[in-house]
Amino acid sequence: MELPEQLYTVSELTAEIKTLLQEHFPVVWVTGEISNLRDSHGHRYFTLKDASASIPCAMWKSYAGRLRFDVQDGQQVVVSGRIDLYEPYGRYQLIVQQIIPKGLGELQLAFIQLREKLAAEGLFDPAHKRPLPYLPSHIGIVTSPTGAAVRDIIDRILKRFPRARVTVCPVRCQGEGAAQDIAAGIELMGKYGVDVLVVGRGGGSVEDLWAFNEEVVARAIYASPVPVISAVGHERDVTISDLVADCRANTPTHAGELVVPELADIEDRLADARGRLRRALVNRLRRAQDQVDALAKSYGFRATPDRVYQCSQRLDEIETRLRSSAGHRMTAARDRTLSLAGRLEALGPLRVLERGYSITLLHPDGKALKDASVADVGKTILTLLSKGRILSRITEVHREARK
Amino acid sequence: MKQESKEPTFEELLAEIEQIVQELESGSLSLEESLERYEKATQALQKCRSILDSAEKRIEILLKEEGETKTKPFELPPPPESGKKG
Repeated sequence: MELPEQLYTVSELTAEIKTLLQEHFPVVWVTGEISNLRDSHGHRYFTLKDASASIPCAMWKSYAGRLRFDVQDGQQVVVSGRIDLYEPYGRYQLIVQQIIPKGLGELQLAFIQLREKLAAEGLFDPAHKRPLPYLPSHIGIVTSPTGAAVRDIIDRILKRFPRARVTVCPVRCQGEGAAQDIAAGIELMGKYGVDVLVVGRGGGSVEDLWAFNEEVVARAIYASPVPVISAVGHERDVTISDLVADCRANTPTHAGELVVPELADIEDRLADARGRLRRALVNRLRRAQDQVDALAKSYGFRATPDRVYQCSQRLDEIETRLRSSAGHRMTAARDRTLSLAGRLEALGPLRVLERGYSITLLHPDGKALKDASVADVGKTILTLLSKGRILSRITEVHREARK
Repeated sequence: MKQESKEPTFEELLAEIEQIVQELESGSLSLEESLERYEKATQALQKCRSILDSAEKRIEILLKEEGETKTKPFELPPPPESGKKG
């Protein structure tokens, strides 16, 4: 048998087939199911198959590292890559550059996978959520220093509480390395001594907001020593950061609202507390006064102030004695009641009476009369003076306030 | 590194005042106790006041220079457009 003119060596033939394949399939998109997935030094090897055929695939580390979701056996995917031939085995394979899950988008799948993973670890646990401080003395913001978000947050903070202290930790919020940058910023601010942290950015595409869906950011928020408010994009954009944070703001402006109270509200609260405190004490003193009055009456005293104070003191001694089970604290109690009598004197209405003022009560119900409009002609009123009291009948009422 | 952890916070003070007000309002305290509690609450109110009064506006940005973090006053970026209505 004569040999043909064209004689290949194995290597030559293989090389020619390889060239043909490479030229004919520079980029292909293939759909199929992943099977036999394995990982070797960061490279991924798997078989893409359908009902009647299969293709060996390899995805090199540099591409595999960019995958945002976990590739798993059984997943229906679309892959892109080029056909190559592995000469030692004469085997063609698909060199994969990209894998896209079918049905769900890649980002959507990544989001779901991370959410499941972190939920299982308890990162979204309501028990871990910390309350925000009512009035933070130092607010930290981790965001881009040039975006609209930082302005919106600070504007709103200053509108509500004009003397706020705010420190901005500038970070990149999108693009390569943004997630690492944000996570480092959260960690840094945690050590910086702020007592609450706002982390976020303004609206954008899902890609733009993606850094806030990355695990490294979620873990940094979870580890933060101070409560974190997440403010990413708009209300409809729910990110992993929102789920981990102690509190979620719908927008950056909303974060400014959540992080500080309004100055006027604080003032109201203080004024209200002061008012209630004073009223409660005045009521208590009035009751003590009533007790003194009753005692004075029952002993048939003409209530000179001196005697009233003796009674007050006595009353309190009795009260104290009743309260202390064995009475061994009597001496101390006596000392205390002595000083108490002095304070009662300084605070009490009797002191005022001594200076020539009087108290008028409606008779017989004993309510202090502060407004002429509740007094009617013909009714009787009781006037308490420093010494003694006067019962009188109303003959005329002028309801206007005195100028 | 919480050097100020011993000082009560604003809301701790508010909570203390609130509790005292409730105790006083219940009327179950002796006169002496009432005055003591009142004094305590008044002090707490004064602390609240001084926390409020000592607050100062300070807007800063962190800078990293040669591994050290510093701060400088932060200028807000201007609004994208001046579409403000009066």
